[in-house]
Amino acid sequence: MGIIKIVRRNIMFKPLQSLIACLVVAAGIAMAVLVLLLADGVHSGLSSAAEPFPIVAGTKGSPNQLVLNTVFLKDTPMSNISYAEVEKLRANKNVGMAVPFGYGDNYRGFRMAGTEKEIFDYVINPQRGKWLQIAEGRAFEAPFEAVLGARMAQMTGMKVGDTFKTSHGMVELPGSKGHAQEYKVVGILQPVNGPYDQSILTDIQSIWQAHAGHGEAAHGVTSVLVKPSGYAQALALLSQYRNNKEMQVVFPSQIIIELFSVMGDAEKVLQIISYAVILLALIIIAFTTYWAAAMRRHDNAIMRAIGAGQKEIIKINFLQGMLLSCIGVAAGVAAGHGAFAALANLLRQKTAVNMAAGFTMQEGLLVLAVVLAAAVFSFIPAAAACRRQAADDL
Amino acid sequence: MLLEIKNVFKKVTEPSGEVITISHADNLTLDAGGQMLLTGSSGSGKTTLLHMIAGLLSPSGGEIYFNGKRIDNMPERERDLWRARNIGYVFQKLNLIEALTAEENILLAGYFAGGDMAELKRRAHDLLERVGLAGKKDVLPGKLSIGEQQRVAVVRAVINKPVLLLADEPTASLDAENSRIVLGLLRGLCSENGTALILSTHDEGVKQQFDEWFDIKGGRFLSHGHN
Repeated sequence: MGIIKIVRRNIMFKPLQSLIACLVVAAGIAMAVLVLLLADGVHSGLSSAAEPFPIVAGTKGSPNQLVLNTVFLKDTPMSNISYAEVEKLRANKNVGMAVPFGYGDNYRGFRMAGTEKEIFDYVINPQRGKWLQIAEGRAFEAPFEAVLGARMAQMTGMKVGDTFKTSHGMVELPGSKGHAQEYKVVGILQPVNGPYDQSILTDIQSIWQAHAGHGEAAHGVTSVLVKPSGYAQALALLSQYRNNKEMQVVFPSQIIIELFSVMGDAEKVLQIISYAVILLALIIIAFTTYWAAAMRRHDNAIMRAIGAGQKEIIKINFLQGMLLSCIGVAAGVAAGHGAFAALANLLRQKTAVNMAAGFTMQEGLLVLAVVLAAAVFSFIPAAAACRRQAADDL
Repeated sequence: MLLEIKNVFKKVTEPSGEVITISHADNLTLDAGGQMLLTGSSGSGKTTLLHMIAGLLSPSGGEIYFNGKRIDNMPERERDLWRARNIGYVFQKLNLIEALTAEENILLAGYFAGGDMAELKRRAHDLLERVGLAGKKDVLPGKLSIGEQQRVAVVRAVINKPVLLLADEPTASLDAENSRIVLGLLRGLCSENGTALILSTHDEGVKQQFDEWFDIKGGRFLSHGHN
């Protein structure tokens, strides 16, 4: 006989009541965790997708569309700029590397990105290493050779050596006429945890040749990935192109920040919702632990009548409240992460934007706050029970 | 003298706002090992008086002494400890903890009093055997008959060999046969351990078995007698 045994017996004696208490706490925590992870995950997912693109250059127009085209492989591609602009950029002393991208075709809805093989040498930063690494096969070396993104290969089941034909546009419409040229898969990329996992990379010459008879400007590119020589050079480059009438140069990370600031109200609403949900979770914890303690009032009075001291009563009630709350919190955190993983997977399938599912500081604070609330609300009724006259509850 | 009660009373406020006295004991004394009967109909104030003696309820006035030490004005914490060491209580409503088995209910009282668990287990086993419940030590109270539950409650009340045992209508919900068994058990165990006993009942027939009795009506002691 001991405190732990009494607590265990109490919990197991009313399994449904204990389960409901745990589930109610778990539901509140799961909601709060999900909202926190979503708020953080969307931000970090978009920022992470933009990381390989320090600067993007393209035709004058909407910077958002340029970023959507190049970074996220979304939206209708903007009109082309001349390949000569790529060469101008390469000659610029502020530029460390400039790689062109041409979009406009797809295979079964997966976007084809025409580029140059230097892209396989592109190092984001010394810590991250090369952005694109070959998992199987090799990089393209000639027109109509293709390298598949990891997820694209997984989803289509395509292998090195397979051949395919692309269609014009961003989606493959039923009955749409494809290009005549056949592509051959020569390599498959390792996952990059971003939209390019769902892309098909090929030599930009392929795009030019496939579109040769379509009346489009020869040797045009949609955008240019630019790696500046340094931070100061990046700012200098931005300044050089600020008044350019044909082209724009943008920092995708800044565009994303601006996008978030435009959506500031929506983010604020999400923040308010997350605070409200956290508050709700705390109220649920308070109510559940208090309710459970109130249900034990009669047992507390019996135990006092047969000799339990205040310390024992408080210990039993505190441990019982904490145990149920902690099980609820653990289940809630697990459920919150599970729901987030499911949503993140859905988003990844649709956009290939990867929302990282790590533990956040806010989540840690939430768990701490909830456990503290559980401790307080387990202690208060237990202490109150000791101040009551035992006879009142017998 | 083990117990001395001086003009102890309890007043409560009715929902209507009226203040009424629900129990009033002018003077009452009990020697160590003595046995006393409180008789009176339901609502006469017997339970309130026993609760006040056990320190489960504070009196509105008067004084209660136990072995010469005043106990009615003790702080709750001190009173809990005093109760654990000195008092055994058999409740009218049995009040067994539903989540614990018969044996665990009994051992719980010993655990709170800080007793040696091996010794308590041995004693609980002996007592359960004596009351015919050795085979039901692992049964939850809900699966026991009322008579069996009452016997478990009696064993729980005596497991610590208390100085004073308070039994509140212990036979109220029992048939005649079980009443006789429980009453005999209570009195026998108290005699063996030198435990003083105050037993309340509405059954006038029990009077003959006790040396001393008090009649209570409307919260006040009406008469006092000896056999």
